[in-house]
Amino acid sequence: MSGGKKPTVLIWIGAAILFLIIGSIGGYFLTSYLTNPYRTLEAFPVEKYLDDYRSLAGSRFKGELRVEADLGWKEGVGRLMLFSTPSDSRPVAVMIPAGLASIYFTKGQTYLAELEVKEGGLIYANSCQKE
Amino acid sequence: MPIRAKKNNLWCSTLLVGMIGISCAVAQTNSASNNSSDAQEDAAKSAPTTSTAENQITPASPNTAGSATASNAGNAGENSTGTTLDYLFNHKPQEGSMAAQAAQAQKQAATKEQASEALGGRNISDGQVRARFERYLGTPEVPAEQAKAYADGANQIVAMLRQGQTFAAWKSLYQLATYRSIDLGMSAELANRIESVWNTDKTSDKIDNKNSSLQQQIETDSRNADIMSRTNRQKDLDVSRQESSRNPKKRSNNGGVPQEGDVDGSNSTPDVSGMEGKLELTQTYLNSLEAKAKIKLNELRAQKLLDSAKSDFAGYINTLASNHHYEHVILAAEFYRRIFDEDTYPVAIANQVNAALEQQREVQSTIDVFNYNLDKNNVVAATDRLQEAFLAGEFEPSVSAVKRTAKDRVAAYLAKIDKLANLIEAKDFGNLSTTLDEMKQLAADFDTTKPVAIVNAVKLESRMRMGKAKLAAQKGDLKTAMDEFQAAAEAWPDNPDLQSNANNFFNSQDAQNQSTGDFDRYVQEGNYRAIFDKQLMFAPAIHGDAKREQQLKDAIEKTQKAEVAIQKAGVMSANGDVYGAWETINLAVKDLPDDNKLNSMLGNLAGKGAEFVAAVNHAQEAEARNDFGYSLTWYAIAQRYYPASTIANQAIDRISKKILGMN
Repeated sequence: MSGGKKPTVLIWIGAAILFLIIGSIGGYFLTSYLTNPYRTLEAFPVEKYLDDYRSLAGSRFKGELRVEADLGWKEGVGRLMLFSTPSDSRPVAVMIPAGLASIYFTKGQTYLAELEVKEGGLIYANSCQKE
Repeated sequence: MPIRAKKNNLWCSTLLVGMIGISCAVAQTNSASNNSSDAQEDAAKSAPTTSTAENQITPASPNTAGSATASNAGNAGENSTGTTLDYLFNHKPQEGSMAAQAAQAQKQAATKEQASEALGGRNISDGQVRARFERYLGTPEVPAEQAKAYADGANQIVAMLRQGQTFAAWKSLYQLATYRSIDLGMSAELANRIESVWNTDKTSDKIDNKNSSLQQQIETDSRNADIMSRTNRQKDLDVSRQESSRNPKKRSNNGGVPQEGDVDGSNSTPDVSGMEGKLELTQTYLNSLEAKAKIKLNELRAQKLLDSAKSDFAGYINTLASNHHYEHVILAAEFYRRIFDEDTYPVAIANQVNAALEQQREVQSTIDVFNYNLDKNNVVAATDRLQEAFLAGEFEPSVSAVKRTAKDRVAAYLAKIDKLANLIEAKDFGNLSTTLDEMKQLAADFDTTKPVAIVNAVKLESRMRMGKAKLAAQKGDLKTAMDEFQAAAEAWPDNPDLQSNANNFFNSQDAQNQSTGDFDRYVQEGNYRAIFDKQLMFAPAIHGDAKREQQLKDAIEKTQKAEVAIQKAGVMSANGDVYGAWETINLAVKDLPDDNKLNSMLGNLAGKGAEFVAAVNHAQEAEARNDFGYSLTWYAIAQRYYPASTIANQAIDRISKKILGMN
């Protein structure tokens, strides 16, 4: 009954390939998740910030920021920029500290950042990386 | 109260009531008159030596009284009252009434001319022609079938004439005359004229007959003369032969001169035998000459009759042409050729026929354009065309056939034009605008620009006069004020400001003090709008006071800026730029924070552009709290709503620099 065994082998081979593919994809996402430094942070609540920034003061958030405009740069201080988030198209002003000056921001591109609301409602990006 | 003072009161009251129709003004002026009358008495008492009989009855006395009162009481109000009365007493209607009437008539004529020019519509200046045109508009139309039958009849007559059927064509003229409403009896008149020419022909025939009989007579006379001549010659020969036979010596003919042998006296008497026949021959010859002369005269007479008939007929054609009876010009010209048996027309008649044909075409095409314009509701253009057609050929069948309903629309339009002209002449601008609206409904192509411009010009003139009156009154120059006020009232009798201003103008007692007090109060309140509105009143009152003048200048400049902002915002809002309009007013409010007009407009616009306004407000409040980051975000949001926002852009730049420490 060699003819009856052949399909069973093929099924096993197919299942193994499928498992490998799924495992690879899952592994990729798992690795991405585990290597994401902002995975433990909550997304920045733009609506809440615009209602009253004081309730967010001192807290840190994860922000998926789309570059809208560059408002200015000063050495030793940083770069002041306008970003929008996927959840709210209204722009928010974010200060990119001088330590993150090596990042080149291009209008329309999206970046991930750890955000912190400081005094006067100014949002600081403690860290930032291109998504 | 003295009788004179009572009269003055009455006079003053009557003038003001008649001129302005304002009871308050009358009351005030009456009061002023009372003061003045009292002052007159004072003046008379204080200076009895200067009060002459003339002064008592002439209007100069109130002026003197006013001065006396001013010097006695030191009251500026009474002084100005005296000036008022001076004006009233020195400008009685009896004075210069002829000149005033002439000036008034001239003004009315000018206004009428102006109204007529502005409204148009009346292209017929001749009164009689206009009356005929208006009658034409009121008459029913000639049925189209009838007009066609008439035109066919006329064409048939021309065809008959060209075929040589002159008499039949002549008879057809009487048939054509039965279309009374179109023909107006012209065909019957033409037939009569032709008959008259034919009667002239009969006279010519009689002359020809006479000439024939004269010719026969000449021939008879000639024959008789020949016979007589031969008979006489024969007689002469016979006599000569007899004499030769009796006296051969005397054979030679010496012309009857007595010769030598005749001295015996046997032949002393001359022989006259045969002379009788010679005289008869001479008479016959003379008769022949006379007959020839008569023939010549008759021929001249006949030619003259023919020339006269031709000339008369040509004159008749000319009359038809000048009276625009073009159809009959053509008919008459054809008859001319036939009855005078000519191949072509004389040049003058040919020209008239050509002109008649041209005019017929012109009138027909004008009527076509008239109908087209009327269909499009362009009644103004249609009326112009109908008037043109009427002037060019009022008796043309195409003009007579215009439908009565169409003519009614033209008549209604012209009636409305007359009404508008009357309203403009009467300066009844209230009803004028309503009638202009009605006119636009009636005639889509009616241009209201000119009448509206006239109305606006007159209103402006009235207002400017009112302003001058106001200024003069505030300066205490009540004579000029009264003149200007009257001129303002004449320019626009229904001017609503007449009533409201009349009370204030002539109550100039301590007006200056009151004005200064009001001005200071408004400055203190920051009510620059009120100062701006009353600048004409304040300007003369604070004249010479440098501080107040500067305050007035500032107030006017600020309010003018606000007005400019309001205008600009209005335009922006109308163009859909509500955010820009709000921002414009918002910026203006900073200069004039208590201005009701600005704040009201700001409130209205804020409702329309709520998102942008809310963003700017959040941003401004945060900036005020030094929450610069939060403020910057809100300004950025405001900029997102309105990228051209001056407030947002300036603030973003300003706050960014502040945050980055670049200031």
